Amino acid sequence: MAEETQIVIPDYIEPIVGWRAWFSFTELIAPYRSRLNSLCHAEVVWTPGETVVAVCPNQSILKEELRHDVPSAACSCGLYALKTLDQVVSLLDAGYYFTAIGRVELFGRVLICENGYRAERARIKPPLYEFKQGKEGYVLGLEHETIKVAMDAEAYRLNPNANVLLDSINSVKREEP
Amino acid sequence: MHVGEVVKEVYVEPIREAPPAPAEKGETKKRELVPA
Repeated sequence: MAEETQIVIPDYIEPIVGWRAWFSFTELIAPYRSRLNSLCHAEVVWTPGETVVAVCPNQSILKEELRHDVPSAACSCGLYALKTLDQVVSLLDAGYYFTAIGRVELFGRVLICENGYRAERARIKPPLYEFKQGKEGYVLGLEHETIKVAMDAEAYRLNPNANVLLDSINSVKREEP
Repeated sequence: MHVGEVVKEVYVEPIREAPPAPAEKGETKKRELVPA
């Protein structure tokens, strides 16, 4: 008897695009790769070009009958993304600290929420906007090329003025091909 | 990040990963025959 296979008909054939922020760092050992850490789950590392698959941290402690697909509306699991760049920038006002912003392509099981998304799988959609510390303070870079100075030179943090950051990113976006 | 309440659940076709780059031409070049 032939094995039963479940065919899932997709609701969308193109990935959903959202915005995210990360904390970027360079590994301390060779080959000193640049990595991106999730803001809320430091154990989740994002690498440009690679797909990240969500794992529910509660699965291991749940009874078998309570285990669920990831993400689940009944849980808070999944890879998070917001709908707009403005929403990500406003995270600064909420006290989040981050050093990179970018778009992500979301696919697999996706929960569309009021302000954003929770996805099963995600991948960074270039370009990635990264802030690096330069002579004039933090600078906004586009794929390792410095574009605009946008950060506070004196404070060891991003400029709390979200509009300055937003203006800089928008000006970089206009320069994109 | 606060994404709010779930509005809808969807399934999005997975992204197909790019296939590995093809082998460069010339890798199967025949050895030239030398007349005896």
